[in-house]
Amino acid sequence: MTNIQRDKIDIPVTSFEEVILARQLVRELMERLGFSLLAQTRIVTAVSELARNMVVHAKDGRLTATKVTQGARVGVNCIFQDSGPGIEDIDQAMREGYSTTKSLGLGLGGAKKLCGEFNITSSMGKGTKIDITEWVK
Amino acid sequence: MSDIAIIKIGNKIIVPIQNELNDIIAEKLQASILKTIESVGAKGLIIDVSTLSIIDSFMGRLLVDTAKMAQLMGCETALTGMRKEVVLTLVQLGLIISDINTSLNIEDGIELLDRIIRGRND
Amino acid sequence: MARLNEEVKTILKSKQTDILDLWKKHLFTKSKQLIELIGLDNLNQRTTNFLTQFIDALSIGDDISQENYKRTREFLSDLSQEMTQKNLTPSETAMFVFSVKDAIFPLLMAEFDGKKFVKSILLINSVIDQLGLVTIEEYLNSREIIIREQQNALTETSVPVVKVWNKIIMVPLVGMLDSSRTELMLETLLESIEDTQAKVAILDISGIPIVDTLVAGHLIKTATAARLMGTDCIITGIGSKISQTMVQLGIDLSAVVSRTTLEDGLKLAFEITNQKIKLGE
Ligand SMILES: Nc1ncnc2c1ncn2[C@@H]1O[C@H](COP(=O)(O)OP(=O)(O)OP(=O)(O)O)[C@@H](O)[C@H]1O
Ligand SMILES: [Mg+2]
Repeated sequence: MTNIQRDKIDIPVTSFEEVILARQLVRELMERLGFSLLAQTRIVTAVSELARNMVVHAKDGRLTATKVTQGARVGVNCIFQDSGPGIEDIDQAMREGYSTTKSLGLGLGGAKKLCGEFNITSSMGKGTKIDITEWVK
Repeated sequence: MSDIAIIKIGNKIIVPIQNELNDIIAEKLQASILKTIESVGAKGLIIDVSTLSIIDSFMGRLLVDTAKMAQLMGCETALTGMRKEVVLTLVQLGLIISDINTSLNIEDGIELLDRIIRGRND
Repeated sequence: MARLNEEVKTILKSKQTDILDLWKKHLFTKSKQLIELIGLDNLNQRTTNFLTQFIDALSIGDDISQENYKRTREFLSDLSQEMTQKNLTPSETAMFVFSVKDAIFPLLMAEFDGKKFVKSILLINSVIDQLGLVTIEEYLNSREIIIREQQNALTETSVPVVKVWNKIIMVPLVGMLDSSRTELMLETLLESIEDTQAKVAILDISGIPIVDTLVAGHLIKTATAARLMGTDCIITGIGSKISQTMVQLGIDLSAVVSRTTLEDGLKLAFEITNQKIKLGE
C-alpha cells in the first residue's frame, strides 16, 4: 500500500473486491477535494453501481478518476471503460426495472440520477464507456 | 473473512453490519444469518446498518430479501440506524425499501420487535 | 432659515384643542383603517404628542433633517412601518400628516383674514409636505425589507425544525414547496432526526398555499425518507381547501398519516411515542 495522495486513480475493476476498492478510492479523493458527506455518499453509490455493472455484465473494466477544474470550480470525473459486449439499446437499459440478469435494473438509471453530469457511449461487441462528473457545491 | 458478529440476545439476534462488504461476503453473511435464525429459533432479527456509509441497489435488495426470508422462518426483522446521507441517496436513487421495519437505533428496534412479536402471539 | 413667528406659535398653542378636534375629524372621514390601526385610545395621545412636537419644532426652524424634527420623524417612521406591515397604502399614511393642514389653515385664515399669516402658512405647508415624503420614503424602505424577508423565506437557507416534546419534532412548512426547498427541508429534517432521535416528525403544511401533485410527491418522498430513518411522519394542517384540491387532482396521500389540526397531530404523536400528557381541559 502506498501512502501517496493521488489526484488520479486508475485501477482495473474486474472483481467484487475491486468494486470495494474503487468506492474507497473515490471517496478518499472526494473528501480531499472538499465534497460534502452527502455528495460523497451519492457519487460513491453511483460508482458502486457502475463498477459492479462492469464486473457482472462486461470484462476488462477499468476506472479512472481525476480531479477536474473549471475556473474556480473543482470537481471529480470518473470514467468507467470496459471491453464487454456493449449495450444494444441504451435508452432501454437506462430505464428503471430493465435488467438482462433478472436483477432490479436500478443501477444504470439510478446512477444517472445521482450524478451531476452523466454520459454513456457503447458499441456492440466493443464495449461501454460511462463518464460522470460532479462539482463541489 | 466472515468476521461479522451475530449476537444472540434473548429470542432475538443482532447483526451489526460492517462497512464495505463485497457482494460475495454479503451473500455469505445472509446465509449465516438465516442459519443462525434456524439454529437458535430466533423470533426477531436486528440488522444494524449504522456503520454502512453506502447502501447501493445490491445491498438494499439483499437486506430486503433477508428480511423476507427471515419472515418465512417466523422471524421479524428491523433495520436500524440508517444514516441520513444513505437515506437521501436511496430516495434519490429511487430504491424504495418499504415492507421492512425500520428504527432509529438498536434499542428502538428491540422495542419495536417486542411489540410485533407480542402482537403476533395475542 | 425660516421659522414660525412667536405670534402664530401662540395662536396655535392656544387653539391646540380646536386644531386637534378638527384634525381627528378629518382623519375619521378620510381613513377609517388608520384610526383602527392607531386605536381610538391611542389616537388622542398620538395626535396630541405629534401636534405639540410639530409646533415646537416649527418655532425652531423649517429644515426637517435637523434635530428639532427628530421625534416627529421617528414617530412618522414607526407609524409608516406599522401601516406597511398591515398592508395599508402609503397615501393613507401620508394622509395622517397632510390632514394637519386641513386643521391648521382654516383656523389661521379665520384670524385676521389670514393675510397676515401667508408666510406662516407657506412655511407650515412646506414642512408638512416634507414630512409627508418621510412617510412615503419609509414606506418604500419597509416595503423593501418585507419583500427581502419574503424572498428569504421562499429561498430560505434554513428550515425551522422544532423539538416539540421528547421524541417529537415538528416542521412548519411555509410558502412554495418546490424541489430545491424539499431537498433542503429533507436534509434538515433528517439531520434533526439523527440529532434528536425523534420517533415522530409532524409536517405542518397549513402554511403551504397549494398542494398539487408535485407538492404531494415531495411530501410522500419526505415521509418515505423519514420512515427509512425509523421515524413516522404525520402531516397536519390539511384544511378543507387543500383536501378539496387534492381529491380533485386525484392525489393519493393515503400512504401518509394525516390530521386536520396540529392538535390532533400532536395527540397522535403522543400515542405513537407512548407518552401521556393532559391537554387543555
Ligand atoms: N458495462 C455494461 N456492459 C454491458 N451491458 C451493461 C453494462 N452495464 C449495464 N448493462 C446492461 O444494462 C442493463 C441494466 O443495467 P442496470 O445496472 O440498470 O441493471 P442490472 O445491473 O441488471 O441490475 P441492478 O444493477 O439493479 O442489480 C443490464 O441488465 C445489462 O444488460
Ligand atoms: Mg447494475
